Amino acid sequence: MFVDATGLTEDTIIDADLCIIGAGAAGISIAREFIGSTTRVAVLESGDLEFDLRTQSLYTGENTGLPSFDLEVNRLRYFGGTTNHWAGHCRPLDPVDFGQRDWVPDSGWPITRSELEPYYQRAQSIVELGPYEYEDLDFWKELTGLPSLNFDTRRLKTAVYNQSPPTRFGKAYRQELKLARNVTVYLNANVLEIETNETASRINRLRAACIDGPKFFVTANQFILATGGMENARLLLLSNKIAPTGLGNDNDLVGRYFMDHVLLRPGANVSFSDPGLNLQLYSSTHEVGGGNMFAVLAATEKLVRKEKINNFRIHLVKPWDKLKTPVGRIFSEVDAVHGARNHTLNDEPTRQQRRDAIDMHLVLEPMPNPDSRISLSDKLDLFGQQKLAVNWQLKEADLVNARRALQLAALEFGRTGKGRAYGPIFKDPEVWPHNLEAGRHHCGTTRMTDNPKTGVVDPACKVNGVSNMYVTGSSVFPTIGYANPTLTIVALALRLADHMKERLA
Amino acid sequence: MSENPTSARRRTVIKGMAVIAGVSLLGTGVIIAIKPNAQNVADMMASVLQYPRLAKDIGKQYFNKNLQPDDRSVDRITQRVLETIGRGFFETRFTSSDKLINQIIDAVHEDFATENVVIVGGWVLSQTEAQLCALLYLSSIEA
Repeated sequence: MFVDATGLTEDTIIDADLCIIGAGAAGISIAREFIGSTTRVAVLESGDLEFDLRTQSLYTGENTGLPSFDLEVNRLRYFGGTTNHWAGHCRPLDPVDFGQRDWVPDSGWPITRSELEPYYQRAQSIVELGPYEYEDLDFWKELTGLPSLNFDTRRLKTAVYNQSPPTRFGKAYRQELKLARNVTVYLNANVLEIETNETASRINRLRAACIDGPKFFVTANQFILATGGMENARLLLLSNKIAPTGLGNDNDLVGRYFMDHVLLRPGANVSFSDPGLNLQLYSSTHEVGGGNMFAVLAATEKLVRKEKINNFRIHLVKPWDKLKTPVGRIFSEVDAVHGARNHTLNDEPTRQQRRDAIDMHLVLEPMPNPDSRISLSDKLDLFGQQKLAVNWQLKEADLVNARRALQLAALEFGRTGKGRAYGPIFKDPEVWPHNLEAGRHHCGTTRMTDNPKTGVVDPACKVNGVSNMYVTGSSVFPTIGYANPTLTIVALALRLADHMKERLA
Repeated sequence: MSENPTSARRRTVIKGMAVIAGVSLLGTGVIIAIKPNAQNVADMMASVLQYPRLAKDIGKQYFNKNLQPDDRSVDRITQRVLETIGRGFFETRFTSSDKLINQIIDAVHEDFATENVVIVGGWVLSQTEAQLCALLYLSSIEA
């Protein structure tokens, strides 16, 4: 059922067996697992059922790192969370992403891909995808009737992506949560602090409030923090009355290792030798087999290990697709005239060349970096709570990896006689191109390890040193591979739900 | 009617080279190359490139920005090309460009396979194709 927390009386104490903070992909996935059980679940959602500017303002903060990071737009704070505007690209992390890689400091998940595999399979239907088939490319080639690039698999592979509708969790699962008798979703319920016992080893209750009142409290046997890759860390840091540096932060790790995918859109441009080259498998989404799919170029595990490079994927995108609008066509005409006059080799491909070309959009896994971090700003939000300060940093190795990833693709296009690649990153290899972006996939700030000294949560996602507090979502990823995180977020949530069922039994 | 594989291959590789110059290509030329000098290369490339001026631009950039001073000579570049493509490139009298084109194709693809590449103005190019373009550029200076 849904309860608007603004209707609660002041100092109400809500009691539940399990309290889930946050109703995004992770929180809703866990709550659904308990529908019809005897467990009393309270889900606390900061927002309402629809977007609200004042609630969204709670996500504002300071950016003290790379300028490519836009705090205002890349998260949504209402029921369904950021799934209200996610793109729907889905793929599990590769097995190599879970392992310890000696060239990636602080890499290595405490769980394997195979442990997560059954949860990935369950997550597949939750985000409304077709067949769970990510490895057998022939399966998809047969269904689509489209060819793949004959690249050297020692260098690059064609990786399958599934495309979610995309599932808006807040709409798709609203009705069943509304009907659930044992699950109560409290809307407009902002958790301000996690209050603990005297040794900060157990959560006593949550202090919560609505923007215009009332204030209230939540007690529970177990608590799950599922507010996203940034806010999870912020709430732990804000909960510092007993633990002065923040809850679970004895080793100064909460908020550190903040990661996001490195995006270069485009990273390079490939001019074709053969304008008839069929790249539809990569450049379009295909509705086949009861689902939607597209393909990308990606690093093979062999390449990753041989080159000691971080994982990456490359989307092949037709630049001309962007110019199909009427306004786009006007610019296209102007540019074509200019291009005709400028028909000579210069630094950049001419517009004419781009007609027979494709953009390579790079998505690169960054190095874990303790200096890249979330912390608390001196600025205050509507509740008088410290806002977020984001300091997204990349390492020199990230630039080297980005350049190398694009070069590997350039080599394969040349080797197979399909074209030649141009990119600013080749021309000026010492600096990031001006179009460097963050992928809006916030990870790593409450990293999962099997050693309390190197991580915030243990392999079960329990906060180290706190007996009844769990964290889920992309903040627990110790490394992030190249895959979009949502499928993994849902898989981890389902895994935690199973663990919680045992614990509450 | 099916296409002659060699013709198709020729078009592919030369377009691969030429695409960076923004040109479309034409077909067969007759190559008579006996002595390894820039003019022979210029003749050869002129026979297959519709816009050899653009290949000269590549060659100019490569020659001026990528080569060390000691390597900036027809002889040194020719030597490199010979090492890659084989002496037959200059020493055999070709009756058509097909064999030559195939040699270039193989060399260029091999360059990409073995990472024998060079960055010219932000483009990732085969060393062989960049060297040929440099010889074409030098021939225009000689002329």
